[in-house]
Amino acid sequence: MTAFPARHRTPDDRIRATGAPGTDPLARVPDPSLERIVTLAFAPLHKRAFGVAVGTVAALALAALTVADVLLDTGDRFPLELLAVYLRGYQPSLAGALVGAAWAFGIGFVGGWFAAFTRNAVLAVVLIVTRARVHLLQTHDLLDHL
Amino acid sequence: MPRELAASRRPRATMRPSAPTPATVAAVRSLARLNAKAWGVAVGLLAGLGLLAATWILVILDGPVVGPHLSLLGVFLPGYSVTWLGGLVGFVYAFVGGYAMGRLIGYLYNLQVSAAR
Repeated sequence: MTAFPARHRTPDDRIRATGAPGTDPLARVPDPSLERIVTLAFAPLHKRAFGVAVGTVAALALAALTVADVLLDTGDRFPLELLAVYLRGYQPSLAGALVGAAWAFGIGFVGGWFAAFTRNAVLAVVLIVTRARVHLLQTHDLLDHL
Repeated sequence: MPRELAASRRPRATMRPSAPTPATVAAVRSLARLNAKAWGVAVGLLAGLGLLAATWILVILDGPVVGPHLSLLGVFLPGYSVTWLGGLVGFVYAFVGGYAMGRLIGYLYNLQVSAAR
């Protein structure tokens, strides 16, 4: 068991303090504060929650934009109706705002879900590679001990 | 008949969801929480700098009619135009809008994660 100094200046110091030669750093429980930092850094995103959040904001944004376009009666008009090319049933009207909100929620949900999924996947790959490197680092001098 | 009696007293399988395993509980507790303010600033800066760059690039490119389509944003953003100053006005508008959107995303996400915990 390694005795940890009372204070470490940086997380790197903590990592060094936990690493006693000849022991597996992955098998030991590190400094609790370090564990909190690592857990926070590698915490996964909740895909569905992120999708719902992005979808809701996208729906509100498109609905607000459409309603503003309908209510603001200025000379120039923003060509919002062009969105109907992609969003079937959408039109710059109050009813169209609802259709657009539904579309925006769906698209935002898929985009948010996929963004969270990709972020979690990349993070997992980084973790696997890091873990493999640590193992490799520990065994690279194996033949020297034979 | 003790075996049959014991079998009859055994609780029947119900449709109720089983208790979460310790691994599930740990996974849910380890879910990331978003810093709503940081998300607001990040999305706001992205939107603001994006609109600023789009506007100023059109101004630099110049031509007989500068940014006929982008200038329609002035319908929603009073004071915005495809000029050097209009780009700054657009930056402020886009930053504020982006900040609100980013902050709302962070808030809604954290709300759901808190409920899942």
